[in-house]
Amino acid sequence: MNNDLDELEVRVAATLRTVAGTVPDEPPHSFWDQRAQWQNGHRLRSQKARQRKTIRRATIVGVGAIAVCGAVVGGLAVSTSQHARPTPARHATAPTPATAPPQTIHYQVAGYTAEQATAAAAQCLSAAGAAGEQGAVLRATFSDPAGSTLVVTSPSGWNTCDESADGTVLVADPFKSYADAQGWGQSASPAGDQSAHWLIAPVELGSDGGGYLSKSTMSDGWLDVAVGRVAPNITKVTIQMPGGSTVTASVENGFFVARQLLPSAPSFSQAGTVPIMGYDSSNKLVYDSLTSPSALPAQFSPTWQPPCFVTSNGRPVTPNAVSGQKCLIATAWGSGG
Amino acid sequence: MKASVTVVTESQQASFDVLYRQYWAPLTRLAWLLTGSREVGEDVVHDAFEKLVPLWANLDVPEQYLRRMVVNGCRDHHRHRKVATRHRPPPAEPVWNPEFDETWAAVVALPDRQRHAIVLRYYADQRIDEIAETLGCPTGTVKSLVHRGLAHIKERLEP
Repeated sequence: MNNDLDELEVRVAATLRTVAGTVPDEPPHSFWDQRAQWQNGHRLRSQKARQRKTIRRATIVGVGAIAVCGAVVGGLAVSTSQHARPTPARHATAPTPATAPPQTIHYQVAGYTAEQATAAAAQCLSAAGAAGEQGAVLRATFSDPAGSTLVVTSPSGWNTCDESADGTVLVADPFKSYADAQGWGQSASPAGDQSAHWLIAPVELGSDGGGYLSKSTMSDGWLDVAVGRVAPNITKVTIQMPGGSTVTASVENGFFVARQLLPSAPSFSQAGTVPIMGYDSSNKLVYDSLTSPSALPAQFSPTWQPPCFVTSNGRPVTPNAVSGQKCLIATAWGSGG
Repeated sequence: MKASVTVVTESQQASFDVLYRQYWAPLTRLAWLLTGSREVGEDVVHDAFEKLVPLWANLDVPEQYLRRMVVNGCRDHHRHRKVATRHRPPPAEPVWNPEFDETWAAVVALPDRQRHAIVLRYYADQRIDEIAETLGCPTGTVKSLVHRGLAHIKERLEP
């Protein structure tokens, strides 16, 4: 096993170096020439074409804004005044797409009106720099002065106003769009169809062992968002975030979302399983990630195998079962969808 | 991406181009491996340089900023691509010898986070804790991602 792994590691490293080695040492153009080509060339034209197509086809059937209720325990905080965008004045001049207006406001961020959310969606749709990829979700993310995150979604076309340099990140509204973006329920992998409807624990961070979305907010600091799924009986989740603070997540529609804003990127010294607690409606602790069968070992070894999980009728949920390994029964994710 | 309105003098353009020529290749290589597509990798790198234009004069270590932007750009791309790829055929890639072809195909087929961990470990030669910081996840998760990634590659390569 070890020899196989060593050979494999060497082969993978050699392959990656070979692939990377085909990139020439010098760019074909200066940055400014390249920039001019892209701005005047096919990239811009195709973006605009996609954008026009998106605007024509878009039918916004749902727009929402959600206040993420995660609260940092431990007192770390940064000024969020620079997150206050977009402003009502910008909204007032945003063009309105020739589509039906949003019909539903599921959640409301303090300080944002339904009209502002509607205008934000229109602005996102018409933004000159929108990515414009075809797909399932329109998503615009903004932050209000109190640090909450506003998310605008539409199921009729992929687009985004997310600007990584600005540091606003999707959370989800009403969580379903996050699931769509992550491919839950849509994976083509053999295990994916099962894993979309089953959990390897009553509280599952992400879908593949991770689940933190971290982003530099440039001038404002660092934003971490933890997203995952919960079993129907879980009504409260606490999670240790990067840097060590414990955050109480918001739980809804089978998902949980926690977030923290920090002055800068936290150092990561945590090894092993992320501490996550799940509570039921009577505030009784029903899940502790550190004692869960799916917990990672404190000491990793090359021979360690992650536990495998199957549905109640024996269909694999995780793809990692090895010959002879006894798999555990997964938890049904009842309220997702 | 919004059109830049930053005023850049000719000498500043020349200085920026020196930076561009210095870091374009290593960043493009990394972005290609992380995204599995050279075309997308070049897009991500160009976007990172675009975002650097108004900022670079005030940055002490622009290469660290660029590297972070490229990795974040690749991660953002993957979040979007999961939707987009259902409607697009995979782009054609160059052909190497069969062994590399098979292995590269196996790497490209990995789930995104596993491929990121594999590329950062075996191409960028990052330690587990460095990968954890880069990807924003615990070291235990990185170990698991690398382990599962290698297992998937091995499984795909075996007859």
